Amino acid sequence: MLAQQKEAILSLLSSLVFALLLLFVSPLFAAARSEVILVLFALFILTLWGVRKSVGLKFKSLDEMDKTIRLQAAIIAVHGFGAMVAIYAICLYILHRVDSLVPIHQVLSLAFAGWLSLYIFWTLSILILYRRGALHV
Amino acid sequence: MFKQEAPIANTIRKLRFEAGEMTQEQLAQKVNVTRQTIIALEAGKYLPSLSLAIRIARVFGKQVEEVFIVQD
Repeated sequence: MLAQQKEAILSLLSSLVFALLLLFVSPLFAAARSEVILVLFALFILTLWGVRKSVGLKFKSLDEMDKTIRLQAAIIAVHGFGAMVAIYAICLYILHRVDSLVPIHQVLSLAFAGWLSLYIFWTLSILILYRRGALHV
Repeated sequence: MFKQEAPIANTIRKLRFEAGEMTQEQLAQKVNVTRQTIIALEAGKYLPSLSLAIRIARVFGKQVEEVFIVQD
């Protein structure tokens, strides 16, 4: 297995773990929910950095197919990110349209969930494209 | 999702064997890509850039059209 695929698998797993933490653990800290989300966000970024270091992925060693796959995966991920943020924003509108006030932790959740979705779509797409192939379109 | 069938076939595998059973690794080194890219090319899972197609054709002393065949 290539270092790129290892990085994608570990980053995907990390993203899913942090998504679960955001969904189920952050609500347990009602008084400091925003701070918990910020800490999770920081830990997530550190985890991604650690994953990249641990698999020894070097961008210089990527060839044109690797770069094509990463680019195509990024295009798919941006669309997934956009859809996810739009759906989340609509949910916030429906939930808070009466008082027109969105709690600050919901805004932070939206930002973190958007970042997580970007990584989930990106890593998943990388794994699928390595398996199915990345043809120029 | 994008259509994943290669509209361009290639004769890389055949040309490798005609060139003294050149391995995928040897070809990869000659054209400066990874072995995985050669595997994907032979399996029709990746279409190379024009630059890579020319480099591969040059390794075998062929024209690009002799290595990569457009399937109409």
